[in-house]
Amino acid sequence: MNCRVIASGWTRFGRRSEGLLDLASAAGRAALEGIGREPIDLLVVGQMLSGDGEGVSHLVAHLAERLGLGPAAGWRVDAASASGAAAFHSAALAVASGRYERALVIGVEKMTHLPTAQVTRRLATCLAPVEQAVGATMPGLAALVAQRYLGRYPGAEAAIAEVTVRARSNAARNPFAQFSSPVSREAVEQSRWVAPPLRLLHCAAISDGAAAVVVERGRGPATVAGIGQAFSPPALADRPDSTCFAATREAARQALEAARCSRDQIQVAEIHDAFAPFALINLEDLGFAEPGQGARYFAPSGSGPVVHLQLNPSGGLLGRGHPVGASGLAQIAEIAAQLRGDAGATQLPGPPHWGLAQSIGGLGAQNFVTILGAEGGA
Amino acid sequence: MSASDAPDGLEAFACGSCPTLYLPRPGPCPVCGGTSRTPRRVSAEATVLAATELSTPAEGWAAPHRIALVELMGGIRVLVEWTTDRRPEPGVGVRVEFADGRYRARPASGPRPEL
Ligand SMILES: [Zn+2]
Repeated sequence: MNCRVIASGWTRFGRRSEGLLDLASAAGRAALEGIGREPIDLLVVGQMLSGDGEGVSHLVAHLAERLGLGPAAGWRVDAASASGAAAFHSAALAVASGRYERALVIGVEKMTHLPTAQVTRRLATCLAPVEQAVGATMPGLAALVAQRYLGRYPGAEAAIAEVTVRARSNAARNPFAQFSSPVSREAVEQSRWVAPPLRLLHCAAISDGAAAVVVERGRGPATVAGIGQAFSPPALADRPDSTCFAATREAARQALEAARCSRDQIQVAEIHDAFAPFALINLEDLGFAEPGQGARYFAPSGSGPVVHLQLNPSGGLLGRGHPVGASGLAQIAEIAAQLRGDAGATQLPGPPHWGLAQSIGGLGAQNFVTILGAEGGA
Repeated sequence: MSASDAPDGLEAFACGSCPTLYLPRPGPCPVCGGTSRTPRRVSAEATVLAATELSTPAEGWAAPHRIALVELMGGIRVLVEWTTDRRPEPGVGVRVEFADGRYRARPASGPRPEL
């Protein structure tokens, strides 16, 4: 695509005293700082839950005013927990079309001011009504997916704990992450049950925060090389295979085909580890591991089929925190910063030339894959 | 109609365009998208595929709250509320009922709970 990411910005994720507009503005300003006085003619905001409950709607208009984006066009995008990724895709398509020159994309969510049971109910509103009716929640369905996965591929429990250990280790290097302290495998395996087989430390935390990027026409170190997205039935019961996310597989196929790169070329990926077992499933759905082999990546020796791949240098959703409307964009912002050599404390050596971000909307009902490459690759 | 005088089995549909059987839903056939369908009754006997117990259920539900993914004879899957005390193991036989707009299940043998 004829567009590239030229700047990334974040707020720290976690329990924040600021409101929705303040968080979104802060991330937007942080990204704009990276581009000097270049004008923005498009503002796209990704957001899932918050809004009327916080006394704020029409967020995009308020943000345009606060950020001084006078003549810009704008819209808000909702794709549940992939809203940030969806906002980015719509902005990239709009800029690459030639209609807009330079877009500011912001993903934001405010969650921690509400009681956990209320956040849980609000998150569950994206599930199929027939499954909401029996009290399904996001962690509840994730637990059923994990149980099916472990039933088909026994022995992955240690690798699933290791997902959290590595996430928290990476997050400890990220000054914008919710969690600054590492955890041991024992701590993960002894944390309280949320929904067996999921324990507390297998689950990304409720979080506040915002991320932003600036997308500009042209090519550079973080060119948008390929994007893909796909739907799956919102009801878990309607999916023929509940040990994978078919929508990720299709989104990855589209993105890799558009980017004309191979999986072996991808050096860094930010994947949607809202629940630790999803990291294994995502590696398999993205084609970095065969079905049932995702655990090999998390083997204690670090050996495995995808050892060349650096995973979630930001700490991922488990370590960085998961403000649902922001996460999908925070992943893309991190990959872009890595490719530009601008990732600060989380920077990988190289810098890498190809990176991938994968975001899950709902419980896999609409998934997105984004591939960025130096000069756009092919 | 109360659960006790409901006819045996569950209300379902047979797709007119493909071999799929599915439970009543607002949309078309989940497999082929076809909209022609014929009412069927299917057995309420099912097998547990996975089950869990939520320690922090959504607002409006009491903890612990149990849910299960079950498969009816004929391959129809449905998410149910599990109405007895212990979370069932995968592979266990259960009986599914539909009342008050939701699917619930209990052990295939044993006392019928108050719904
Ligand atoms: Zn059909």
